[in-house]
Amino acid sequence: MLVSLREVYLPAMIFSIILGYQLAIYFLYLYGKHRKDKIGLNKFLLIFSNLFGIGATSYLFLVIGSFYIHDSYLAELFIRIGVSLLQGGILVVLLILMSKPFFTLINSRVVKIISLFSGISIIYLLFLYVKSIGLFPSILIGLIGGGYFIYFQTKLVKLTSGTEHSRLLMTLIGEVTFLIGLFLGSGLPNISMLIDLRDIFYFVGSYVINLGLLAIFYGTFKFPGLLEFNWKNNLLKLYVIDARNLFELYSYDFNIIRNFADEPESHYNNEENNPLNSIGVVGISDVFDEITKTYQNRVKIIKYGNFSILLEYEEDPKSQFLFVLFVDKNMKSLQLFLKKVKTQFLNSYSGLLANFDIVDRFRETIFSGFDVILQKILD
Amino acid sequence: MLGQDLYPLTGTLREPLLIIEWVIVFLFSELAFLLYMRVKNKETKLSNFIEKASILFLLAYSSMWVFYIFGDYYMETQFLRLVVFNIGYILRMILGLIFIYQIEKFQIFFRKYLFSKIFSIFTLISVVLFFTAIEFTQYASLVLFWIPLILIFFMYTLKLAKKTRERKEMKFFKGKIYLSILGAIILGLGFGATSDPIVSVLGLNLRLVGDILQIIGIIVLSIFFINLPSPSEQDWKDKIDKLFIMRDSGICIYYKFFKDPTNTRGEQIISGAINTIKLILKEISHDDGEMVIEKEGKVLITNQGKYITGVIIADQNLDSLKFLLKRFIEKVEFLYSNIIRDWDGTMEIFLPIENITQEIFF
Repeated sequence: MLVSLREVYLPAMIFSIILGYQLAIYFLYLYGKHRKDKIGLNKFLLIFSNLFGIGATSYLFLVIGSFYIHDSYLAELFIRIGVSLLQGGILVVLLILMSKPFFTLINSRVVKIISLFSGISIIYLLFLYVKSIGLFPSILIGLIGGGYFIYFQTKLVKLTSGTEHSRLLMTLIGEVTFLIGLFLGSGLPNISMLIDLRDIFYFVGSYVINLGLLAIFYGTFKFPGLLEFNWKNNLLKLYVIDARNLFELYSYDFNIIRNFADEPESHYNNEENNPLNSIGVVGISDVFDEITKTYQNRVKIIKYGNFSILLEYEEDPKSQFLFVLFVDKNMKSLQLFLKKVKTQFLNSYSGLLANFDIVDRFRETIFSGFDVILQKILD
Repeated sequence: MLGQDLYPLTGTLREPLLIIEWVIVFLFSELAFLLYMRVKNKETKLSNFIEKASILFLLAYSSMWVFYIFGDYYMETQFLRLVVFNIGYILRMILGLIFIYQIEKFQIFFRKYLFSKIFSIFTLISVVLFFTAIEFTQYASLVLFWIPLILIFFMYTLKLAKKTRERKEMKFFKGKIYLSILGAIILGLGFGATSDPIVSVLGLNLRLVGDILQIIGIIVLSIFFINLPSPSEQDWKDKIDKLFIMRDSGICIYYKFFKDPTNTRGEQIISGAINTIKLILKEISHDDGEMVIEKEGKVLITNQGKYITGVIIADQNLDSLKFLLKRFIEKVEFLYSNIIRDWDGTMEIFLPIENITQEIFF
């Protein structure tokens, strides 16, 4: 069997490069698609696009330099360009992280230091390269930069919930795997003591990189464009309603938070104390059931014009309590939030809600303490 | 064996061919994965069988190319090459059989499971040939695999194209079906150009051209698969329940009950109730807009025209229904705008709207 070493790596290399470019194009497309929504955190999509695009190009240079160029000087040049491209990709990422939307999530001093070292590393690789020092310091700086980006992502993952959360987590796992593969394939072989095991490291590293990319690919499948990072800014009003006796038990206006955050005003009518907002929704649900002659399931979503109303009921169909959330745009995160609110409210007031007399006499004030619990859910 | 001197492949074209053929393996596997991700969240089996069948075809094609690569580049003797190929052929026949079975589960061609039965026999013949006459399997695969597969693919596609021709509003879907046929033809031509008889006569350059054609073919097929509307959108006719046209006051001027046409009562009560919901929402928002009320198994969709509102009550929220409702209202307003503005209360004048309903919804 005729087998050259590079033909063993070939499938892994091809897959990594094509997948890298595809992910870059996909994230760029997502960023362009949601750019008009002007959500700052959407720059995260641009970060990913840069990382994968520049990363794939860097890998291409490394592959060509390692396997296809016979002239040693030219091969070394290609490898240096490849590593500096990777370093450049990380530098671009760090520079975008220093923009306004991410300020509260990063340690700007650390980012500036790593950016500075990345810049120095690029200059060293391209113009001041010393063979005796080699690539290892640059690779190490690259790994530190990549590691910080992963640390930043863990903070971002905590902001999300549900499918968003699992997708970002999968992407994160993929990136860690990718970094491990990169270190195995590029870092370790540059250590003089391990030079004899270079081929094994490269082989293992290239396939580990593929595994990492596959995990990222799976995680980014149908990436929702990061709008759901902004889910809190879509909250308008929350109501807890006694649907049987037709009165409001609790309400909360999220526009207070919106005003502090300088968010644009919603289209939704912000009139206070309009019982139609809450009780009206009960009526809509009942009328819809009558129109369609379907009584087994309950209305979950009402979309009208530029806002939506999410409804959440107790598990017991005979139960009287209804949770209503007015939002700008319907999102999965908001549906999950409403479910959490329902669970917390019922857990907190289960004993009280069974006593109708007390609830009826003190309903104006008795649930006001839920504001604190709601804040905790939001935080 | 024709062209045996060519194998294992060497020379200047070895590396480029190897790279391109691994790209083919990757692209086919990736498309299969993307389709799988689309299919795995769907509930009804009926609505996603063509995608499942396509996944099998793509996996079979991709895995076959892995065997071709090993056989053509790394096997030093003809016998070893044939053994590697035949393992691939048998795997391909099994996947092909499942593919044909998936299609025939929901589509009958002449007789139920006819092609599946024929293909099972062909699979058995392939296995027998593997053990008894391995040198004939390459030519046999043309008859045993490709001809039945291409036949069933074209028959299904033509059936689908005919179905969409009857529904004029789905013209865009018909275009995509023709795109899939084009992709399949390019793929077939590309694959043919890489076959031993062709390569042995015209050389490895044609294999390179064939590989490039296959990549073009898979890109064309990807466009088709990725832009394919959900098969449930094709079943909108089964999902639509009621249709209303109301004036701003809530008076129903036209109605159609699709599922229970004999029930002629309650249209004014229903449209009045819908109008009440609209008024409540308008009061809440101080704005006007389209309304969608959704629960499991039922949805209400509205489309606001200049003078009238169209309402559909359906079993599922489908883009097709929104599209059709919009077209319906536009057409009704185009014909009736003057009448609706100065309407004197006579209902008979709106009876011809039934023709528009027939045109759009039937």
